[in-house]
Amino acid sequence: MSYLQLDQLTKSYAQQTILQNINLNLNQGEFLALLGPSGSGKSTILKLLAGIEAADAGEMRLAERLLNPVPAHQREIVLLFQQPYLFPFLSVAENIGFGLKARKEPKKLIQQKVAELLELVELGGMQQRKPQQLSGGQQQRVALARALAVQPKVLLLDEPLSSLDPEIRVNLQGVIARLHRELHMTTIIVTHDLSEALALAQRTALLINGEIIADLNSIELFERPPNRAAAQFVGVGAIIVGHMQGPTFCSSLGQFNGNFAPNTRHVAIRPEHIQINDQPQPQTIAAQIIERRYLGERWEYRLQTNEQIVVARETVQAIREIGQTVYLHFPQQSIFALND
Amino acid sequence: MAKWRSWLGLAPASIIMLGLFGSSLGYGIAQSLGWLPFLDQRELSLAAYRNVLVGQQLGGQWWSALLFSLWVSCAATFGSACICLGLLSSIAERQQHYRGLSIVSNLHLAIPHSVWAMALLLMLSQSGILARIGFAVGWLDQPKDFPVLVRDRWGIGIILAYITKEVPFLLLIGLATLRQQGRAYLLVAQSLGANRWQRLRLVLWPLLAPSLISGSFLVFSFIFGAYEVPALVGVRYPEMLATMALELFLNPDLQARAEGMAVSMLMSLIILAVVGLAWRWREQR
Repeated sequence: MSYLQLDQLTKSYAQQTILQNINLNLNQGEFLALLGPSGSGKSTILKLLAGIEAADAGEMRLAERLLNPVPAHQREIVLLFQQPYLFPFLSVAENIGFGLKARKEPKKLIQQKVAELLELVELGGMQQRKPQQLSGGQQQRVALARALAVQPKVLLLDEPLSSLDPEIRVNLQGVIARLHRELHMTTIIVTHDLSEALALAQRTALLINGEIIADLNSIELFERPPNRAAAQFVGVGAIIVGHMQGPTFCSSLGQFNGNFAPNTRHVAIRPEHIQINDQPQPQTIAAQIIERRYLGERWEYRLQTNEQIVVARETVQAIREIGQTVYLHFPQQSIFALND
Repeated sequence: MAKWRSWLGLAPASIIMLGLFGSSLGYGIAQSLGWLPFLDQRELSLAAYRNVLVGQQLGGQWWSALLFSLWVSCAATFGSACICLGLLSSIAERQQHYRGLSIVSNLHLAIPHSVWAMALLLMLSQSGILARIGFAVGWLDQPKDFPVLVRDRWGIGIILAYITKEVPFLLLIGLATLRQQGRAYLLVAQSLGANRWQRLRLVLWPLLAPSLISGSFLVFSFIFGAYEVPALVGVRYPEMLATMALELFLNPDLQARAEGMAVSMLMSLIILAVVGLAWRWREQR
């Protein structure tokens, strides 16, 4: 039995379906990323879990207890918003201790816990400051400490890093990852940033148009997305259309042997697995560079073949020119099938 | 240089303000000090202030009017703030109600105080609409059995008129605060385990307090110095300081103008003291 269970969860606003039959299970201590584009319903799942919104249909269970009728303040699920929303009239210490005060914990315990959490989020010595005196990153750390103070059974993070500068963002990702390692708190983070999901979560559920279209290990989702929609979201080098002839997948970009299902109609490859050659070689096809982009550690090329556009990335060795003709090779072992 | 330039930019508005208000204030102070050139009286003295504060004829009237004004202003301000807080507390977590309440408050603010006071008079007097309805449906033996709510010696009518007029004003101030992430703070508190009462006490009230208290100082100052509502729904005794000042000023005996102005100046000093308190309170926060 899973620790957190979402069963056939449905939610609509003004006759527009936001979530449709969402099924999701989490084990205790697991870190899940809910990944998807804006408006896909990710934050709505968190709002339903936190009790801010009510589900139209379906059930939510936490440790076998039905959550639907439980008021938000009794759920022991804390939601951390995109903005820190620190209470402006309270000091840092009072903000962190807010949930404990609401639970009528003794003053001494609150002070002790606040001091511990301040150290944990690396803000020691700032307890008397007002939120306005902190930077954006520090405010989000305080919000995180405030959420952790009540030791929630589930911690929900609704794009808490999206409004921060890249450097602070990476730093806070490290803090969140470390806290999860140390506290083993069941955590769900909502993000539209694939790299954030990969950096933080063991598992990623990809949500598109209110439906979970993939739910698997984060690295696996990145390396081998299971279907076309997931492949398009995580970004592959090419989605190749073709058909099966016996054990071989036949397409205009080549023939590939693999452990493909008999009805496979699409296969894909990651852009960094496509090999770019200057000269024609066996099992290569010609393509023209139509665009290039420098990504830091790699160059990304958009290439036009006779049939389709292909995206390939290679580590910086020699810079290739726009308009140059190159020869692409799709290694057999890097090709994977996509469900329709 | 930049500092001078900003002062220079403010100069046209400041000159008009100072010209209009400064000259009126100066003329008022001069009259309160006995400078009444139309009576060929140009000698300055504190006689009018003495008459108002400790004089045999006006001294008693001043102190009772001061106490009555303080009572009405405090009661109406406190009542308005409490009702406003109650209303905001009841809708704070329902953001969809903000707009409706804002529209109603704005519409109500457009009604002049004098018109509203007249409406209350017609509604609440012993010969008013409610008394007649009560009599018609048999709740009252006679319309005059209706409780005295206007033109009463406790100033209930004045207080009611001001509460019903000032609540929308305070509501608009409070709604402006709530719109700026007010609901988000309440959701955070809820998520952290605070029940409804705790959300009101620990989040909503501290959030609203600065703006509501500042607004209440404004309301107090306005009520303390306003004339038309007490003139319409008040009684001749006890009267409020504003009505006392105007009666003295309009007295056929032109000598009384100095006392009328002295009362006005003393009222201004009290209001300035209240503003000073409000300022200090803000600075301390």
